Amino acid sequence: MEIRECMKREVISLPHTATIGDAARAVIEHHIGTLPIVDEAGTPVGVTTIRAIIQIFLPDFVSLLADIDFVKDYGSLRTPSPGSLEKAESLSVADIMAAPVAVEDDCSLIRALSVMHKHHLRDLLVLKDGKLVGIASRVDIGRAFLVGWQTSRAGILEAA
Amino acid sequence: MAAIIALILSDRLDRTIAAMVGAAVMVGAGILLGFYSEAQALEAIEFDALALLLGMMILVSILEPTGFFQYVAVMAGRLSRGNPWRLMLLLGGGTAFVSLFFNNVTTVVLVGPVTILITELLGLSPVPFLMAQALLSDTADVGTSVGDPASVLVASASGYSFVDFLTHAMPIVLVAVLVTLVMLRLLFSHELSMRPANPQVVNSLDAAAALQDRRTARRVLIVLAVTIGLFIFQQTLHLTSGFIALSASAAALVWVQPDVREVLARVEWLVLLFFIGIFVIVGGLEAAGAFEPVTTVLAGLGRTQPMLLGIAIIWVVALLSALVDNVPVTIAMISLLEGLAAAGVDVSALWWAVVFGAGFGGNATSIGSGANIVIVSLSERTRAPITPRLWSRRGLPVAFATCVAGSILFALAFPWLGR
Repeated sequence: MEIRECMKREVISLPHTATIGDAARAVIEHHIGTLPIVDEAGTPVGVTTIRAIIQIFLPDFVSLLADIDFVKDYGSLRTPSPGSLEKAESLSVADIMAAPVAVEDDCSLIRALSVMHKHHLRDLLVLKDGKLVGIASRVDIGRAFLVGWQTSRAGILEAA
Repeated sequence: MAAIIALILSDRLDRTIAAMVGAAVMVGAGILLGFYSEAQALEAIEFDALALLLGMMILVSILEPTGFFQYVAVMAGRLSRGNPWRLMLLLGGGTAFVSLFFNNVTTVVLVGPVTILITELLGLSPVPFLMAQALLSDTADVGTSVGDPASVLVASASGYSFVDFLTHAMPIVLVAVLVTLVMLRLLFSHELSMRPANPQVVNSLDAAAALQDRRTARRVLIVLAVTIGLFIFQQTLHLTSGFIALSASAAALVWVQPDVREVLARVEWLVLLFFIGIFVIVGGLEAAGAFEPVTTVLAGLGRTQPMLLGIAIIWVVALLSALVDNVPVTIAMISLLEGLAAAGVDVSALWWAVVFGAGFGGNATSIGSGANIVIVSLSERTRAPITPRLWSRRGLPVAFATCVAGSILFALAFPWLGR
């Protein structure tokens, strides 16, 4: 199977002038975790995730300490600090976006899964002739792959 | 050579690279022009100091992943009960105490993030506490012969022992620490009078969970205790500091059996190479007679008014270490003092002047000491970055006050220091 058979074709994306607020509203409305940022031609120029957006609100110590399990109570950090709220208002998606990772629409499932594994992605962008044509999640691809495995197992067991 | 010094100062070239290039150039020039040989260059390297540094670095490296440093910081947070001044005393004092034995840059790298954590939980700005940790540990760590590279170098050159440092340097350093605390209280009085809304949040920090490898930490600390014991008796036992430190690190390695490659990866080889380079460069300068004009001028003063010379040394070394890393300054001063001794000046008290200047001067600027640089770069990853100007506004008064106190005490204790 190739990735074009299990990807979603309706991709919610944002222009690079979008604000964090726009990204937040997209996440809320569509229940998605990954937002590709595209230019006018539909070519992906970046990607932002719910993880990147949330990171704006996380306390500083989270990025500075290797282990934070010993912190049981977040005290005055239970709600976002005024500092983080200010920061969120002042940033645009272009400030927090990462380089897009994409594969062509005829990519094999194993290759797609390998790329996602290496880049720690939950969603993979799918291109055709450089244009964004779909998006596939780890569940989409993973499930399709596992269906293939289970089907071939059943076939082998039957033949045996 | 001036170009190399300028490069180190301007930070455009990594200082280790600059030192190594400088050393190569110095030896090359020495051979070509006939003033410096390879044998002389090798002699200029103080291997005992390097061995001491390496041994202690290995011990710290084994201790780092146990979470011990984070544990100390978390305990400070818990004991403070959320009170800002008590928190500053505990965090600053704890960092300073640890830096008496371990280099304060590593200490601050590990304790700084926990400081940021605690202040964030309490809703306070981390700035006063981070600065307190840097300023206090910079001031205090010259009190022992192992706490700061400057002390290690002076101990090696002067022949003063661990105990000599405790009896001569430490009392004055303790007063300087008190002065620093008073200054911190005054300079940060506004921030320290803030009352956190929920001070009890520090009680929820699980100190035991922060200390992830209790067994290894205990073993390393036992080795450290024995090491200090050996330092105290090193003269009776006729052991050099370097030997003690390396043996201690060997003992810790065999007792703990960590992943040696990881332990050695954390050792700061760049610092050691930097030292070697500077030793060779300064040795070359000395062989070329670059120090002679200065030595001649100072020798006169040294014979007639040694106490004044000592005070002058405190201030000059302090000024230089505020601007440049205190290692090259110390190594250069050591050469100078050796030259003065050869000219018949009694330098026994002057060594301490170098120690005090190197320890107190670094507080003045954000680049004055490695710990300051680490604190500033940590702060830049938070919402309250410390600018060089902010640092100087607080650090300069502290450096000034401690140098004044140091000078007064140096003058008063001059006869004792010369013994």
